[in-house]
Amino acid sequence: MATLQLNNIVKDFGGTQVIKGVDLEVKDREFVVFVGPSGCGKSTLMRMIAGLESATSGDILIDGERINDVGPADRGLAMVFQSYALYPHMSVEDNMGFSMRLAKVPTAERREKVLAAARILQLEELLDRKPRALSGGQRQRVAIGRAIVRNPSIFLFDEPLSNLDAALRVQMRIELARLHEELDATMIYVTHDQIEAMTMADKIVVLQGGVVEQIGSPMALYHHPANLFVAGFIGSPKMNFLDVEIRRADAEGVDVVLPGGDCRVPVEGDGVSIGDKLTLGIRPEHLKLDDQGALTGKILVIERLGGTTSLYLEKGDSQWILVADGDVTSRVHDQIRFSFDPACAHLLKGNGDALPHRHRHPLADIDRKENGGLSV
Amino acid sequence: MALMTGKTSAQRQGFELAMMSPALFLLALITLVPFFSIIWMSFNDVSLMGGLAFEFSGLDNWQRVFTDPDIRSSWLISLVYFLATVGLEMVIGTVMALLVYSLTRGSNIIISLLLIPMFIAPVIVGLLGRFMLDPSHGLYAWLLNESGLFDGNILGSVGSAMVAVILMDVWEWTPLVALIVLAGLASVPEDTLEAAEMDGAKYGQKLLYIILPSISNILLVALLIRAMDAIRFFAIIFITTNGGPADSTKIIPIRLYDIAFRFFDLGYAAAVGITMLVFSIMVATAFTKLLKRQETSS
Repeated sequence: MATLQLNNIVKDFGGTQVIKGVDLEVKDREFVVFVGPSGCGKSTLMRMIAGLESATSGDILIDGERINDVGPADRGLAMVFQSYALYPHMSVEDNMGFSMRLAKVPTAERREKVLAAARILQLEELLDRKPRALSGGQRQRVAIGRAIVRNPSIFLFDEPLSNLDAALRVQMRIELARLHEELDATMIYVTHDQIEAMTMADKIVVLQGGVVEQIGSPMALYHHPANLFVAGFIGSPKMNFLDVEIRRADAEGVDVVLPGGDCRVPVEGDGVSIGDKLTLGIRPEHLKLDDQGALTGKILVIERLGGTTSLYLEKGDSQWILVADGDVTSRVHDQIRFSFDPACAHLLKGNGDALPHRHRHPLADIDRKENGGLSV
Repeated sequence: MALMTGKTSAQRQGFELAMMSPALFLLALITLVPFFSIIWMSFNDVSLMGGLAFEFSGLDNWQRVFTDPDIRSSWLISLVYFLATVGLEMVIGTVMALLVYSLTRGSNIIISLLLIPMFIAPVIVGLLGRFMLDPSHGLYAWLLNESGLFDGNILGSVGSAMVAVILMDVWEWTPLVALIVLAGLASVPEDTLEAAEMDGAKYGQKLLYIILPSISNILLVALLIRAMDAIRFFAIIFITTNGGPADSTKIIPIRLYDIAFRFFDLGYAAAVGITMLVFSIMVATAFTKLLKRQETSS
């Protein structure tokens, strides 16, 4: 049980800055997910927390204590690697008990702790097996078990599910969430998969190019993205963007020019003036087919998923996506009209920053545990 | 159905055998014929005087092989030689590989430099050794003499001659072991080592629990290669001491050479040669068994 604090962390690899000053506060028992495209520095950041890389500058504090110069084993952390990194010549039991063996914990106590962890992860039957006799999911569980027996103050997960097939990934995702409830520990999780981020996190840290773009709860990132990058990165399919011009702006909202008439978006329009160019962002699932709609587009591709249908539209020189319900009868090459609720739209300035919404989304600050669905 | 495919595959095998027969014939000519001639020779008294002459002598040669005290002492010297060279090469080679592997830069140049001894012909290594250890002008002999460590004729004294030829072999072949181990080290996954580090393993513990078990297979291969070589080792000793002084470095291959080409007792030499072959096969079989066991257990 611990808190983690990063103060202005910088990492320099031979002249290239890969982490450019990251500040972060992780509360006790929080599940924090680092997410971002590959090369954004999320794994490097985690490896610095783990102690496998040193920070070029900045402070890493666990429970308020600076641990920059403490070795990886003495930070009280445990890490689960993407490739599992099991010791191939040791049995499952020896793999899980290795840290205790090094710490000279008596055999009986060691076995007891390994068994306790194995029970949580349903590994009791497999304790005598070697890693190569295990399936991917089982290996993953052993790697987690190896972390659990160390009883760490913070768990670190480095893309732990990316080597699993899709079905197993969903299952392990739920198991990890359950594990977080059960162990009630602070967890930091790196992934490039936003579904993992959205479903498991109390707090998501969106990274790009070594910079934190936004920190917030999954719903806050979804409903109130701080900038163009987060708006485009969070949410699947991707948000649609359209260049628009301001007709009128005041504290109550901003009117923008659209082909089918002006539209008032309820955002704070204090910092902008008439004639400014903005980017209008609207999520595919917030667009709806509407014969009187202000917007039009030609269907390029239709993806029917059963429950929903994704329509890929040609709109001017850009491509839009519209998520409609499952029994849409439209066909490719059809010209369709659609509309959206301005309250769901986002307006982004030329520098990428979003204009803040006047009303906070009711779910934006919900605690993940309040969802209730994952309690054991 | 199964019968039919069995038949066609048997037919095809006949065809394949026919196609391979020229190569098989050549192989028989250069290996099998000499092999069986050697076995036949070991049951004969072979003389070269006035043309090659075989005189059947039954088990005489074989009885000598197992009773000759010279042969027994040569086997013992061979064993000491074998254990010392292979043991030292494995240990030093592994340490060398670990050191090179821990270098962050310049390891390529270091490896190239380390490998130089391997590319020198053993005869040259022997000549070099003889030159360096010469009591009147050898550099090493002078150094040892000046430092007071040894002041006799190194290659001319019992004991020191043995140490000298062992070290020459170690000097030449340790790099090969280092090279093989280095290749093995590159295959130890980095994140497994990092996981061990997170688990609290110091370098020594990582070496003992992770690195060495991970490369145990490749260590066995290196050991096998060196062991097979050490059994038939010949050139360096032939050049430096030729088995002397007082037969103290007369390992089995040198003894065999003496019997065959100094005393021209070819029948007896054949018997000694076959025992060497059997010993090699036994060692190789033991190693392959070990390797197989390793593979199934890991």
